Amino acid sequence: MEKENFSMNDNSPSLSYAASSTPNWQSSSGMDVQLGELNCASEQLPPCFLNLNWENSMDQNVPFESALSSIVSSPAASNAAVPTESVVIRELIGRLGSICNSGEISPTSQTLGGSGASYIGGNNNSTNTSCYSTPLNSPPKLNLSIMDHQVRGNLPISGNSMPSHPSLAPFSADPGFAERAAKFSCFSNRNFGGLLGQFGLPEAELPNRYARRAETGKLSRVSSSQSLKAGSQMSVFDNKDVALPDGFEAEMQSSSALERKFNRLSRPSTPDNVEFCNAHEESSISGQNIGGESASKGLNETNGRKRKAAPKNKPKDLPSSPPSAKDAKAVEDVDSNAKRCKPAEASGNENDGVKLSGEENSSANAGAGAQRQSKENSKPPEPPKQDYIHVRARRGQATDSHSLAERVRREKISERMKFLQDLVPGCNKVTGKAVMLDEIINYVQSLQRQVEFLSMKLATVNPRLDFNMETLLSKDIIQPRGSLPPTMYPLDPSAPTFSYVQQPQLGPPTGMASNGFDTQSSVNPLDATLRRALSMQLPAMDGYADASSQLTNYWEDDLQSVVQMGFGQNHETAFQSQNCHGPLPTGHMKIEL
Amino acid sequence: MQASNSFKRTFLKKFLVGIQQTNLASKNTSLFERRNAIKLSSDIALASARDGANWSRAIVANASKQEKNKNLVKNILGEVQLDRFTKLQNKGSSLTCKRETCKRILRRSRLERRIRKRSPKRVAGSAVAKRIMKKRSHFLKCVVPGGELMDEFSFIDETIDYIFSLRAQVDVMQRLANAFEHCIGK
Repeated sequence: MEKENFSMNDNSPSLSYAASSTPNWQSSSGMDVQLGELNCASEQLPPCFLNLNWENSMDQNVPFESALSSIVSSPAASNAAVPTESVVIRELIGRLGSICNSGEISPTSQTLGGSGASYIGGNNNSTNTSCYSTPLNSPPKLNLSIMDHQVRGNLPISGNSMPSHPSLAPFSADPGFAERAAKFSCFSNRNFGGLLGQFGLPEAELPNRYARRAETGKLSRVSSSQSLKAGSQMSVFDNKDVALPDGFEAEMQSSSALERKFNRLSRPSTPDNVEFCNAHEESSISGQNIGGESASKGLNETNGRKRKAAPKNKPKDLPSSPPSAKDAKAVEDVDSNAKRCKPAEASGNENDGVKLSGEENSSANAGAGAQRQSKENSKPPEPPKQDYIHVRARRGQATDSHSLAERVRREKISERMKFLQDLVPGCNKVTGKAVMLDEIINYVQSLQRQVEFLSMKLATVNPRLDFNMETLLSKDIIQPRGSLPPTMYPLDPSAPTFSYVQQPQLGPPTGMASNGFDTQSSVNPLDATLRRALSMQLPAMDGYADASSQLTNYWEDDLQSVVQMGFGQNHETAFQSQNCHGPLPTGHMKIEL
Repeated sequence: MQASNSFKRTFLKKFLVGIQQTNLASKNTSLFERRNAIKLSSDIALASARDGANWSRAIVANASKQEKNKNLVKNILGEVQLDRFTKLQNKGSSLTCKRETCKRILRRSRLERRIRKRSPKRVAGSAVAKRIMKKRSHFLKCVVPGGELMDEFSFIDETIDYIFSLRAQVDVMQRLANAFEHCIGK
């Protein structure tokens, strides 16, 4: 199953992602349970990850290159170096890295978690994805020891397993990645479980989102490619070992292009490319690669990078902000503390020139208690990462920490408000916060009133149902059952083209057959009537086979829902509620048509 | 933007469980009682389907304040979830107490301030706007269950979440009502 997911993701990551992997996330109701399962899975499946990984790294070179050449305007030499060198280097690096990974505690996953947390914000806010992408892009201030790590060991991994992260199993399959997987899993728990299962975006929407995100990735790539170029040039001119970093970087670029294309999660690795080159200015490659890094070394490197990355960021930012780098550095610690209280929020601060890049980390850390717990469980010895936020002020704006933090907070709130505005119909035309609040209040109240009205409606309907129920029972239920062969539900979810016309017809009778026919005799008013509704609406469905894409979900998941029906009710209720899916799609269809 | 199907499905499941409970309990009740029961069960089912949000906890807490509803809540939520909810709720209740005293103090001080402020008649426009904003956001906080206890940011988040869930609730109930009506009509 997981392998399948993985391969599917590799072939067409953004699309098959929703199709293949979402049911996994939906199907489990408890987040904690899921997390545990994932952790287990991470230890169970060592081999498939690596193999797949290597193969894919080869395969995906081609798309890399096209994306690379089209998007990145870096020197031709580095471009040319990609296909041949990168493969070799990647393998070498990958092996080394896998060693390093097993030895060392990975900061990568922390960034992943961080970006994931911010990613949730991005998911929620579909309109503002481009804004969200920017803080992730702003290079320098991420956890930088991540970088060499990623460069060395995980470069191919980050390139390849990122797109497949929703299924998660391949990522967590590497034994060296067990801890990382723990964190990663909780991140995506929040991400997908939270969004799909609970917050509830429709599955069909996800591909679109991803496509959109890919677009934004491409767009914002331009900005980051500048920094990349700068990095490469720096490494070329300042450095002795030109060839290797260049090759590395080209590779990194390619991988980042891929990542961009497929999802935004791996974005932090792009800035890291630059860091990587810087790191090589400081220490020899071989030493770094082989030695496996100690924490102190990582720290040194981060310092070095901090120094270097700040000026690099400047041209990308507003040109009128000369003193900001210093300020930002001074402020960032305080801000990160201030930001901790607001979990899982990401904000596009482009507008005011305030940049956060490490904030994702901090918010992720502060985000979910479970997440943090699992993180701590997985790596007790490491001291908590210093996460910082890179904030900038425009000229004329206050630069003390409090006002910066306040500004950031305000922006987040306004971001949220914008989203809320989009959510409430007719609200996006309104200007003024008071009117907007009015609209929102009206909308919420109208929804609540609607619920009240509907419950009234149901209340009026119910007794009558009780009344004429006995007459329905005798003929209506048995009728469809006799007319149709008692086959089971379509078991494989990979058959979306399975015609809808058949499924609902099969659905109710087989439900009865499998669950035991005797439950019918215990007269259940709701049950019977619903079943009756089904049987009556079946002929009407015949023409609507094309509407199946959404509706098949009901029937496919029904079997699952039967299995999962462990919430302490007796069989009757389970049975009943299962059967109620019948009228649902039909009702929906009536609304649609 | 709609809630996912799985969410709706879980909601429907729990809702039907709740309806069954109330139906069995009350055969001959008035229309309004039935309506209230149905609404209550739908709310609880919604809260149960959307586990982990503050507003859902608030709904459950409000529902289980009354003794007669407790059984219903327990049936819909199930043991495990109820445990979790009540655990969180207890944590929240201490918070409520604190807030309560805080509010009392605040109110007193506000009263004094109002008395003091009455003498200068003229008020700046911005102050009026601010007051209106405050009033509205307070009202909105009353509308969203559990909104009184949240800070601004999480409140906005919760509101978004709540709107999503309400939409799903309305949608599912609409379909259910349609299905019922349909089979009555025939």
